[in-house]
Amino acid sequence: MARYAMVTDLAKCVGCQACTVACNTEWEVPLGFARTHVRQTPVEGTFPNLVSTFYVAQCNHCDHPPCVEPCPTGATWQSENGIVRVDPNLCIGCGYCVDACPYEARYLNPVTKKVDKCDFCASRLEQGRNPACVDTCTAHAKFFGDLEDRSSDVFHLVYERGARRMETADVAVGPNVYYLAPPEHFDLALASFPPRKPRLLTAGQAWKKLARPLIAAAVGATFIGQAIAFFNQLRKGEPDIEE
Amino acid sequence: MKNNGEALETGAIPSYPVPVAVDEAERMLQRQITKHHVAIILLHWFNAFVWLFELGTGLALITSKEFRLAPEWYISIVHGFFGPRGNLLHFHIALGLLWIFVFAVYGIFGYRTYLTREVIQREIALDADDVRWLVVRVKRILGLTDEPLPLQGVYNAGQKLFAILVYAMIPLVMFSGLILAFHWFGASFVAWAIVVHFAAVGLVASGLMIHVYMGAVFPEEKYAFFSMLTGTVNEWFAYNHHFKWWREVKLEQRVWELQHSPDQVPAPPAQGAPAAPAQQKSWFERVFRSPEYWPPYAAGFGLGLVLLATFLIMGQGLGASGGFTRYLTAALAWVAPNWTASNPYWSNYLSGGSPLFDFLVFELIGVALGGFVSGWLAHRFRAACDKGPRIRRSTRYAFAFGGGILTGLGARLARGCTSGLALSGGAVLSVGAFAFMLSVFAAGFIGAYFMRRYWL
Amino acid sequence: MTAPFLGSLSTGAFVTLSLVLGFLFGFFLERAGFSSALKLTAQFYFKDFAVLKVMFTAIVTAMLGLAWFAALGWLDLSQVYIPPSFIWPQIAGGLLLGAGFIVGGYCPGTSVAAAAVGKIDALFFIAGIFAGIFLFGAGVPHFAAFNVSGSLGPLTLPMLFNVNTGAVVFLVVLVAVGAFWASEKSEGVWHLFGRTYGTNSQGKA
Repeated sequence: MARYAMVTDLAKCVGCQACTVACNTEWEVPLGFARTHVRQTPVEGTFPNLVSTFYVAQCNHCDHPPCVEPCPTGATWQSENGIVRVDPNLCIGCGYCVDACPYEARYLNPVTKKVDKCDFCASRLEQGRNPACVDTCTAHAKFFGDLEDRSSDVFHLVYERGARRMETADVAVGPNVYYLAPPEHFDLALASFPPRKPRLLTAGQAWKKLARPLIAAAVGATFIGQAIAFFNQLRKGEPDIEE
Repeated sequence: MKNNGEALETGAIPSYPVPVAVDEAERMLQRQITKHHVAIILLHWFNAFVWLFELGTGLALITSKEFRLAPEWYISIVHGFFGPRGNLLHFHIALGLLWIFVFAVYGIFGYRTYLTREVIQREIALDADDVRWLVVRVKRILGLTDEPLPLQGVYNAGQKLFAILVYAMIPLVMFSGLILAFHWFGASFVAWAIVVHFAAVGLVASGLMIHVYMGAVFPEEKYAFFSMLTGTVNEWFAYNHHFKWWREVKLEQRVWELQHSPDQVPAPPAQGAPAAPAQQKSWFERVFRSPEYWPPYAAGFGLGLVLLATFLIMGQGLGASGGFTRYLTAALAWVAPNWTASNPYWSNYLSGGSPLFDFLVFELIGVALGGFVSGWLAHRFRAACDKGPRIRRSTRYAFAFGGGILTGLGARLARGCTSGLALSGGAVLSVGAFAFMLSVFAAGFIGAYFMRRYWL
Repeated sequence: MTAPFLGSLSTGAFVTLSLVLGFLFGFFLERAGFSSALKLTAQFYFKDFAVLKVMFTAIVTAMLGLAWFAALGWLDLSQVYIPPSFIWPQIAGGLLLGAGFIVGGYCPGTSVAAAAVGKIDALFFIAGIFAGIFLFGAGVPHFAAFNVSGSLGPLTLPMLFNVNTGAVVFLVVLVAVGAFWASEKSEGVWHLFGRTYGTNSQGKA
C-alpha cells in the first residue's frame, strides 16, 4: 500500500495563492473558507538581516491523526494509504474534529453543514492525476507522491534533501506534509504557526467523562437487578393464579 | 389481602380487597375490562418497533472508542448489514422522523384527551401508596419480603415512574435528534445535542429494560402484556393488581346499568311494510342517471385512462391551475399590456404567441362541460352551497375565496396543482410531485383539525 | 404541441382533442363526487377516503399504462413532459395548497367541475384562485430566489434512487394498494380519537 506525502518547497513558494484558488474551485469551497491557503510569517530580525517566509497550510494526513477518535460517527477515518478522509454521508457537523486538529486544517462548510478538509484530492488520485494544488503551483514548489516509492520526488526530497515535518516536542502526530526550506525560514514558520495541542470540546468531555459512565452504570445496574429478579423467579416458580 | 372473614360476593363493590372464592375468581377471569384504546395499542407497538430499530442502529452509529457503548463486533455486524456507511445514518434519521411525525399526529388529535389534569393525576402523578409500593416492590423482587403491595390505580407506581421518565426524555430525544439531523442552530448546538441525545436515550433504555422484562418475562404481569394486544384485562388481574382502578370501573359500570335499566328499553322495531319490488332499469339509467357517485376505484380508473390518453396524445398530463394562469395573463395583457409584458412571470406566457392557445386553456372548458353533463345526468345540477352545518353561507363564501387565494398561490409556487403536478407528475414519477403530494395531505390533515367546527 | 403517439396535430384536431380530453376529465371528476366540497374534505376527517383512492387509482393506472407503452416500444418516454422539480417551493406550495384545500374546500380542477354543477361557493373559490395567482405573479420579483430554490431538473424517483423504473413502479403500486387497504380500514375512525378505557366491554353489550 502506498503512503502518500506532500512536500512544499518554501524557498520556491511565491505566495501567489494559485493553490488556494485551484483547490477552492476544485472542491467548491464557500467564500471565506479554504482547504489550503498560503500564510506569510511576520518579518523577523534587524535590517539588513531580515527573514520572512510563506507557509502553506493544509491537512497533514498525520500518521496518528488526533481527529479520528473524537469523531462520534466514524465519519473521519484514515484509509490504508494514509489519507485522512471525511465521509460526508456520516458527518453530522458536530465540530469535535475541528477542535481536535492541531493544524486547524478543518472547517465546517456552512453550505453542506459537513466538515470538510484537504483529502489530497483523493478523487483525482483515483484517476491517476496529481492534487489540484500541485498541478497548478506556478512556482513548481509543491510535490506529491508515495514515500514507499524510492523513485518518487517526495522520497528524494524527504530522505535525500531533508524536507522536514512541522512538529514540536509537544505535538508530534506524524504529519505527512513536509517542508523544504533553509533552517531559519523553517524555524520561523514553525514558530509563527505552531501546531496546538488537540482539544476535546466541553460537550465531548461531558459526554466522555459524565454521560457515558452514567448511562453505562444505569444500564448495568438495571441489568444486574433484573438478573437477580430472574433467578428469584426461577427459584420460586410460577405463582398459582387460583390462590 | 386482608382477611376479615368476608368474601367477595357477585356484584359487590367493596372499598378494599376481600378474599375471593374459587368459583367467583373463575368468573372474574372470564370477564374482561377495557384498558387500552386501539389507537394507544397501535401507538405502543409502533413505538416499540421504532425503539428497537433506533436503539439497534443508534448503538452502531457511535463508533468512536471515546463515546461508544456497543462492542466493536456489534458495530461491524450492523454496518455489514446496512452496506455503505451513510445508509445506516439515513435509516436512523428517516425512521426517527417518521416517529416524530406519528407522535405529532397523535399529539394534535389527542392532546385534549390525554393531557388533561385528571389523566395526568391518575396515570402519572405518584401518591403516597405509590411511593410505598415502590419500596415494597423492589424488596419483593429482590426476595427480601413477602409484605403485600399497597393498592394501585390503573397504572402501578413502577409504570408511572417509567412514564415520567419517558415523558421527560422523549421531547429531549426528538428535539436533539432534529438538531442533529438538520444541523439546526449551528455546530455548537449539534455538539451538545449529540450528548443530550445519547444521555436521554440511555436513561430511557435503562428503564425500557425493566419495562420489557416486566412485560415479557415477569409472570405476575402476564395479563398486562396481553392487554397491549387485546386492549382488555380480566377482572381477576385488575382486582389483584389495580384494585383502585377495578373499583372505579365497577362503579362506573353500576351507574351505566342504572341509567339503562329495563324501564328504558326501546320499543321493538315496528313491522315495516314489505319492500316495493325493485324497478328494472336500463344499464344507462343505473350507471349514468343514478344520483349515487361512482365507486372511487371505478372513477379513478377512468380518470387514469384519460390521463394516460392525454400523455399519449398531448405529451403532457392534465392540469388546471396552468389554464387559470393563462386566462389571467390574457386578461391582464388586455387591461395593462405594458405592465404585463414587463413582469417576469406573465411575460413567460406571452412569449409564444397568444397565451390562450394552449392545451390547458381548452381542456378547462372541457372540464366545465364534462362536469356539467355528468352532474346534469345524475340530477345533481342545481344552485347550491357546500358548507358545514354550523356556519352561514356568507362565512362559507368568504372562506372559499380565502382558500382560493391560498390555493392559487400554492399552485403557482409549486408549478402545478393537484391535477397538474400531483396527478400528472405522480404518474411520471416526478420527485417534486411526490413531495408536493405529501405536503398537500400533511397540510390538509393538520388544517382539518383547526377547521373541524367549520366542516363538521 | 408535441404528440408522442399521434404525431403532430392540426390546429383543429388539437383544439377538439383538448376539449374532449378535458370533457372526460371533468366528467370523471364529477362522477367521483369531486364536485362536492363536503365529499372532498371528508377525506381529512377520516370519513371518506375517495380523494386518496381516486387519485392513487388514477396515478397507478396512468403510470402502468405509460410503463407498458414504453416497454413495448410504442411510446418514446423522453417525449413525455416531466415537470421539473423545485423541491422547496413545491413543498411550500403543497402546504399552501393543502391549507387552501381545507379552508376553501376545493382544488383548482375540482372547483371548475363543482361550479359546473351549480355550486356557488366554487365560484368564490375560483375567484380566489385568480386573486392568488395574480398575487403570485405580481409578487414574484420579491421571492424570485426562493421560487427557484432546490432545483433538481426533471428528476424522477427512479433517477433519484438510481434504480430500475420497473422497481419504482412496482413499489408505487404496492404503496397504493397499502394505502387503499389502510383507508378502507380507517374510514370513520375520527370518533375513535377519544379516551375509552374504564368502560366495561360487558356493560356496553
